[in-house]
Amino acid sequence: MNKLASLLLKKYLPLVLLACISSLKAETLVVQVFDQTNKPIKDIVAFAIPKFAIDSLPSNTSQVVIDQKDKKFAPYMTVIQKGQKLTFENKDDITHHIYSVSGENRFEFKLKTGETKQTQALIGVEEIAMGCNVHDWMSGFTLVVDTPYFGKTDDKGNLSFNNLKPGNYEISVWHPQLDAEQHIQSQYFEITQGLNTLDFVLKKALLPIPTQQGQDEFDFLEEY
Amino acid sequence: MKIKIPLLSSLSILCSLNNTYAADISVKGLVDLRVHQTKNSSDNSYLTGGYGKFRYNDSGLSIGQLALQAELEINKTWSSTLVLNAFADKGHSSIGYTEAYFKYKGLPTSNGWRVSSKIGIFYPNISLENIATAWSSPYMLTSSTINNWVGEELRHTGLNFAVDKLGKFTNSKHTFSADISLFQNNDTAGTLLAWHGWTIGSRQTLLHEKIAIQPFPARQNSLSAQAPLSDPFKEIDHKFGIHSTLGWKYSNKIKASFGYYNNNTDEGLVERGQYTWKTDFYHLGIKYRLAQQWEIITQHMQGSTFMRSPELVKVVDVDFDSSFVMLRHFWNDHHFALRGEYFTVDDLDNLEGDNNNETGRAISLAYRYKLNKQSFVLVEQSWIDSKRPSRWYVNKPIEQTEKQVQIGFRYYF
Repeated sequence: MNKLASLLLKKYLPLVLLACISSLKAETLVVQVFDQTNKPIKDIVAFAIPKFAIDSLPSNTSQVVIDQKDKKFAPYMTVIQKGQKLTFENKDDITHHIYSVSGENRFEFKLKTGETKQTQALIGVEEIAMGCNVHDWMSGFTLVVDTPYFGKTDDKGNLSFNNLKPGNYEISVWHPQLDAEQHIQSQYFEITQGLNTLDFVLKKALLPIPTQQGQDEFDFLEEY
Repeated sequence: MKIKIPLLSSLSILCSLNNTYAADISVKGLVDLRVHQTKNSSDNSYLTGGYGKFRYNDSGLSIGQLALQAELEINKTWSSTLVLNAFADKGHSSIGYTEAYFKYKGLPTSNGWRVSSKIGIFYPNISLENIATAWSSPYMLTSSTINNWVGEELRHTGLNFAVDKLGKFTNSKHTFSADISLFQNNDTAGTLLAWHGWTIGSRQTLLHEKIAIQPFPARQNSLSAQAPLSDPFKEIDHKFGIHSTLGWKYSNKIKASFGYYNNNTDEGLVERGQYTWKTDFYHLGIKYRLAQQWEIITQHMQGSTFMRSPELVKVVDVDFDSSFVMLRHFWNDHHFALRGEYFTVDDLDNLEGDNNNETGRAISLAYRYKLNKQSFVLVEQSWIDSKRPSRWYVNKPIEQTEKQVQIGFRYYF
């Protein structure tokens, strides 16, 4: 019994604290994502879309930076709101040729060492597959969502959404290696007053993330 | 002087471009300095008209390679590349171009299809060893017999068209590629392979260079019209040759390629002592990452070359093949490579005083230590054990074991 109490405490105390911190009027939703073996999934993207009429949703204007470091996209996965821009920073000592050939969100530029470039405002609500035309193994993904309520889960698989209005929401998780249509799994959830919690269980295990590394480890390769 | 003028003028063009479009030019390069001790089977290396199978003779210092690779970015998809190389060892030094081409590389489609192209003078897509700046090999101080021949006698002057299907766009680990080249200026390819056999080294023939042909009795009679120096990049019949390859990559574990080359020359033509040699071959290469720190690289090449007199009599006719397997093991700053090779040349003609038969084996063992990101020290020991009757023409034993040890310093920039 004690064990159960301490387990519950461990699991829910942070959520209770979170709820206390958030403003009294606002409702909070804490989504915890698990795989089928009940293991929490960290760094997976979750987002919430209200399914009722709202006059205006807030817009996210923060700068989102994706580094090119050690010939990899870092982070591998990014999520932004429709209308946000992506900023790329080349921290390698070589040139990259960054591109997206996805739907409405196409961009392409060469990025010399130390350079920073920004895309146009991305308006297509979709998954963007990013690559480098010099280093084919480099791979990164960005999801553009039409909601200000999004984020990535922490080490315990938790993500909290604050300042939500009560009502029906579509709660989704996305991962490029999620074996589902558009790599998204969704479910409906009703937010009520106070603290809401949702245990979100993935229907299928995530496929392994491909290693962002070429076969040859030498630094001065050419395309022979 | 003939060489220096275009060199200097191209450098000045590069420099003036550099001033105007500073952001669009990049210059890379390699400094490779060596100490070597070689026990060749004859007094001279194959490069200076001897029967020695290594690049060097005796012992001494050399410039293994000095390379400058300039790339001008024309726009996001088009670029041009110029590769200058210099090599210097006792009595055999030269400076010039090895490659000069325009390149187009498109973006992939959303399904992963990508088109690219090269126009100009460039290496055929064969070697799995020579993949670093200015066609150097990151693994060893020498190239295998197969790729040493590629560097000596093969170069495409023409057009290459390639298509890739990148797997990552469809969540697949398989990437496929196919390419085709139509080329000229390779009508004499095969001359040197037939007459000096397979060799091991680190020398690439510069575009302006001509290479000495070994002494053998038939050159006094049936082959007296042959020039003493072979011009590997000569166009005689004004026809295009063809080279096509298919490639497959699996994740970052396997890379495999298969190709066919045919220089498609008209037979029996001779111009200024240079004959057309009809040369065709298949080549296969596999690079397989066995484990995180272990990789195996293997290549095989098999083909034939022959030349006819203007009266269309087949004068020299050989089949050739060569295979190598390289095992490499690396961790932190250390890299070991062990390469074993087996090669043959079968003489199919009955020309007297021109026996081109050959069988041989070779082992090379190299250790590379990374001093810093750009600098490396390499030590390499090679043995070639071969049987080549033509050595009898210069009073050397038909069966020979040649040895070479080299210490090299390499700086990439």
